[in-house]
Amino acid sequence: MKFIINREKILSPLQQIVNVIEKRQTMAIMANVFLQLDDHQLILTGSDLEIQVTVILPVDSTGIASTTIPASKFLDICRLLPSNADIKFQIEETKVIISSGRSRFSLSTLSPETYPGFSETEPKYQFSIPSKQLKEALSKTTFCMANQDFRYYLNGLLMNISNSTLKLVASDGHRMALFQDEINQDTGISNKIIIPRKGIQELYRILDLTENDVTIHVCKNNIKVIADNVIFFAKLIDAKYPNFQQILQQAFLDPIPVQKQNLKEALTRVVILSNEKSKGVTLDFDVEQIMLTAFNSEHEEAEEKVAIEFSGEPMTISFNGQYLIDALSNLDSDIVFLIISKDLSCCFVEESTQAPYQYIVMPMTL
Amino acid sequence: MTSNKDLYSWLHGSWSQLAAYLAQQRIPQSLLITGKKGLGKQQLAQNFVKALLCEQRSIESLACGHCSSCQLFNANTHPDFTVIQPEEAGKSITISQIRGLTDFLLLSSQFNSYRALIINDAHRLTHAAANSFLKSLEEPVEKTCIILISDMPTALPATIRSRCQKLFVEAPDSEVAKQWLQQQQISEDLDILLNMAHGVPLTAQQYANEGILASRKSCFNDWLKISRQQVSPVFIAEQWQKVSDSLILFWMTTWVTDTLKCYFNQNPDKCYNPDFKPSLQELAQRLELKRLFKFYDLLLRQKKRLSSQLNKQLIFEEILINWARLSRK
Repeated sequence: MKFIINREKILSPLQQIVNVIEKRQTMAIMANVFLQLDDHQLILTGSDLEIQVTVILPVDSTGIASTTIPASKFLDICRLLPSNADIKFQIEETKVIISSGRSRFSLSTLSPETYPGFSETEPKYQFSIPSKQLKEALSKTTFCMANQDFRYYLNGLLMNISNSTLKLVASDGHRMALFQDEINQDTGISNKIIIPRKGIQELYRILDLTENDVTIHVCKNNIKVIADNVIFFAKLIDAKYPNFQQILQQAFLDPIPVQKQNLKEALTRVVILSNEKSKGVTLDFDVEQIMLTAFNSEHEEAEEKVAIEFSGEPMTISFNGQYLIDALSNLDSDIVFLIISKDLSCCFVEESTQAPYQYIVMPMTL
Repeated sequence: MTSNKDLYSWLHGSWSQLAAYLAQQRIPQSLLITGKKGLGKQQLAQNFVKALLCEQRSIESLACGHCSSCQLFNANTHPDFTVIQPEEAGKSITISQIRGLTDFLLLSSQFNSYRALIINDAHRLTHAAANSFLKSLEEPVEKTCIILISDMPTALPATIRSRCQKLFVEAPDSEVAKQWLQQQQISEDLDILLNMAHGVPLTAQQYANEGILASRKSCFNDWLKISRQQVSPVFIAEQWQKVSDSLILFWMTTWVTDTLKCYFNQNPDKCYNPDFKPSLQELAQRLELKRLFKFYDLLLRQKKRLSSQLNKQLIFEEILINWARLSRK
């Protein structure tokens, strides 16, 4: 079975796939790309058993064939051929012959029947969302995910669908990012899944900033995202996410409007002299100003005043300064609101009550 | 009784128990398979997992061998099955190996069936690894089957043992074992081979293939020569470095126990070494009983020391010097 494809057409999809494949493998076949030729389509698949990326490319060939070839060697060959070169593939019983110009390579194959690809199962529900909207939602939430936490359900992103509302929640136990928006279609279902960290990071790479819709299929064991000619699979975390709604159901003080840029810059300066690990910064709210103070174990101190419109009772509350900076950096408006709970147990950072994003930072005792 | 042609004949009893689990859909979440080394416990566990994961299991609970799951299993690429064992023979199973299982155990399975984990030589888990594994054993994820295999289950922490269902694989009757050995074209010295292999047919087969009986014979002759003061124990201790130390210590233990049996005129059928009987009887008449028992105690003590860092040659020098002294009078 033969087909010809231009180097520029295959190179970037191939890089996307090789990205997924892990360098160190316990199963030899997982270091391979699964290659399928199916009636004018070339289907390339790479997986690390946790996530899988498949790219479909058009080719001029009518045959049906499948095989697997070593991924990194395949990529290196395509990458190092001259640009715009036409690459000719010939799939044989135990090898694949790649030739272009005066070069000829023969790669050994492994049987495609033993490739453990994700199986297509009937989705529990599906919906579509513009690629741009999902990518932005991910970029503004994923930084709050935990990394290698023993509470393994925090090492991922919660996707909560209730009929036409999509919620994404990420938290590491100290802070939380919350995204909530309409998807303009009725799914008629209420469901929560946790997508692992690795899956989210790869999905973010696949999505582009266009208005094209991506289709999301949620199956029993995995999530499948179809974006143009790319099909992405990820396993799910088999666990229950903590009840994040609880934090929303409490009494809050009046929102305090703050000039975002001023607060962020002041925080960035004050954090320099905070404890290296905990990054603790104390915020003293007083009439018309916040006083930011920080100190470290070497008895060095920093303080800065930021003017605000505040007329409530004076109060003192400490946070990890870096968490506040992260939250502020991810908001777009010039004015942000700090909403502190009455018992000083948490602080919401948001643009306005209607905005799709909210950040919640838990205070610390210094 | 269901039979599985892929299994050794003596495993059929254990298999029927596992097959019943499959038939009744009562899959153990953690199973500890114990029994002597060389009985085919791994083969038993693999067969069970293959049948568990098979999409078209037969009524007799056997894997079909041709569905996609069986194909992946045969190629060792089944995504919902993994095996953990010491990275090198004789080494421990480390905590990083156990931590590496987190993704396997906590992420959803790839296919809509069970996921299975086999831990070979589970007694090789380090203390820390065993403790970190406890959590997975205690709160297993749905549709997960963890199988631990060990020939030294007492070396496993009690906390692990108590969380597992147990399956003990017995060594076959000597008749069954002999029959199997004959099928493997081994026909000589079957009794002695099986005695030396604690009745385990696979070990007996290995001994026969390696010609272990010849080296046993030459060691026994060395041992007699020391007893007759014809050769230096230090010289022999050096010579014996070429033979497996645990094996030779076991042989010596059997020679001493057989000498003791001869002393008390025990039934010769119950001896480990019927072929050495005349020499052993001669020793029984010549040696002092009390000192023989003391020597036996020394052998048991040294057995424990073999797994330590002590110099093996020195251990054998001590044994053989004691043996030479024992025979001097």
